Amino acid sequence: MLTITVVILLILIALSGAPLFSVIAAGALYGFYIAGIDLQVIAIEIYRIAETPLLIALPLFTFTGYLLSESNTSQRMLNLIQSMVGWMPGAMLVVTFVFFAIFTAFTGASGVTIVALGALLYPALIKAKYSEKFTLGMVTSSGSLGLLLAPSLPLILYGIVAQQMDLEIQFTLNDLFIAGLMPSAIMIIALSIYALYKNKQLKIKTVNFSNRNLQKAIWDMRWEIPMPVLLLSGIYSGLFVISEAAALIAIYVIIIEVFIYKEIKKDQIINIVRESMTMSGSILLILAVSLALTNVFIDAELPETLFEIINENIESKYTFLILLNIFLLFIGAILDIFSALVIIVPLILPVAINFGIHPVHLGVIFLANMQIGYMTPPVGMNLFISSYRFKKPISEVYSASIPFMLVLLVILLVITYIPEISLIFIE
Amino acid sequence: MVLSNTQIDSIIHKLHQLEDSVVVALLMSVIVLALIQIILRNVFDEGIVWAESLLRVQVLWLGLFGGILAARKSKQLNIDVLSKYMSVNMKAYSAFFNNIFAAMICIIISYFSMVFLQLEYEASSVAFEKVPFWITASVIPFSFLIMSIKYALKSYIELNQLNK
Repeated sequence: MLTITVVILLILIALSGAPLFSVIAAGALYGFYIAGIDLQVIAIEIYRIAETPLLIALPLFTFTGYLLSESNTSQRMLNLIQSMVGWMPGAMLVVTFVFFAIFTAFTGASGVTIVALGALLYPALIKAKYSEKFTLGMVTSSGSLGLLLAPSLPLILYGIVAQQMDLEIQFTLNDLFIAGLMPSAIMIIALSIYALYKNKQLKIKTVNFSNRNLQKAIWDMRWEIPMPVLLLSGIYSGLFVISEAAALIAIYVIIIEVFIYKEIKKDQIINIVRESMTMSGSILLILAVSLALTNVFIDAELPETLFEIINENIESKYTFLILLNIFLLFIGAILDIFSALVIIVPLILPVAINFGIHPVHLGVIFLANMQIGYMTPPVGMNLFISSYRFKKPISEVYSASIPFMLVLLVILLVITYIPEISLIFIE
Repeated sequence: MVLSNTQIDSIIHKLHQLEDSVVVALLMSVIVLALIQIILRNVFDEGIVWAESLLRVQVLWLGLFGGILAARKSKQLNIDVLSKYMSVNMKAYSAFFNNIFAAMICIIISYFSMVFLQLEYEASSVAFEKVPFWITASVIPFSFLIMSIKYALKSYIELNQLNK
């Protein structure tokens, strides 16, 4: 009874906007107290951050993402898109989705794609005579497209959280990276088909193709183009470990943006370090206290109890999956992706494995749900970022994004019920 | 001696600069150390044995110092659903309460990790090589203490505004 009161109280405190790490820590401390465990153990739990390999990738990729979004990379990407496919309306949309996905994978799903790349593409698309509503929806959906591609932070974090759990089925981060490829491709294809169908009546104003412009755009990006190519081939082939790749990319991006393009002044770096480490610090802090809370859950046999309750009421794996989707969409709309990952994954992963779902497949489902949750009314984060950035009333952003959300929901069902799409290249 | 407001502001500003410098130094040392390690391992086929352990400890430090930065700007991740439906006054009350709550939790964590550290100090346990554990873990009580102070100050400021 007391426990229920405490849990409800903590949820209320969380909903009223208290720092989430303090609420999670309070839950963990309460759990230790009830179980008669000395509260000193909290230090051991937090110290586990220093015992987790791979975690180094988190601050490094966050930093790289901030550096890229502060430089003119997005402008160069726009130039490249326009000179490459600006004369071919259909291809322009497809390539734009691909670039959105790559930019999001590199900058983390913090909505920065909307602010940096989306904000540049928005006027370009309007100028090409795409409707305002369509463009707004497209740009809003872009903020989380690419979540399933390496080196997106949520994807890495899912791998780290799952590896902390001592699962029967082991998998590597590379498995996760490979698993995300096909679902991402299908999402891009589906969104492109929708976009092409939607605009097939429109007279799109095209940009004349000029070989010189294309060469110039490629030449301007000559330092940045090798980056995803090297990183992705390095990671996907297993040549580098993700933490090494993160360090290499960080140093490479510093060199090109500060010393070659000279777009980031040396004193600006301090600001970028501060902003990015604030972000990665709040993620690591939540992760640290969640590791403690997870142990409380495990000691209290919560995952087992949860599984028994679910198993009594749901027999089929497919019913479980559909309920899981609904639950995760809801979570994705109210919790940021990092908190959702570290709080929810330890609870549902054991349950899902008991239902015969592969942990890598669960990761894909989880992140795909979060991706859609980002743009789910009323509180999805991308909607607010778009509304703020493009100075549109939030209701307009809702109605613009809903078609894109529906397309992604259909794809979500497909990748949920056909695990082979994610797992075909694994094992 | 009573400090004037401008003196207090300038002290706070200096402290913020100090926090920033620590974070910049930590991140840069992580990048450099990781790079040296990659070069040693791939070119000379050997690495520094303790580099991996040190890097992981640095990530802990970066994370907790990042937490301090986030507390400064109230940029901790949170769920912000209810505040949209609150009146200005209610918002201020809930901000006051939330900051007190965070300050309390942080001081509890700081206290108990301090106790833990003392035991580890007496037991002379080692983190890696000859580096004592209490040094690598000292960032835990320290950072939570600082965060606690920040949240307490924030709630004090909220309270002052409420009284007006």
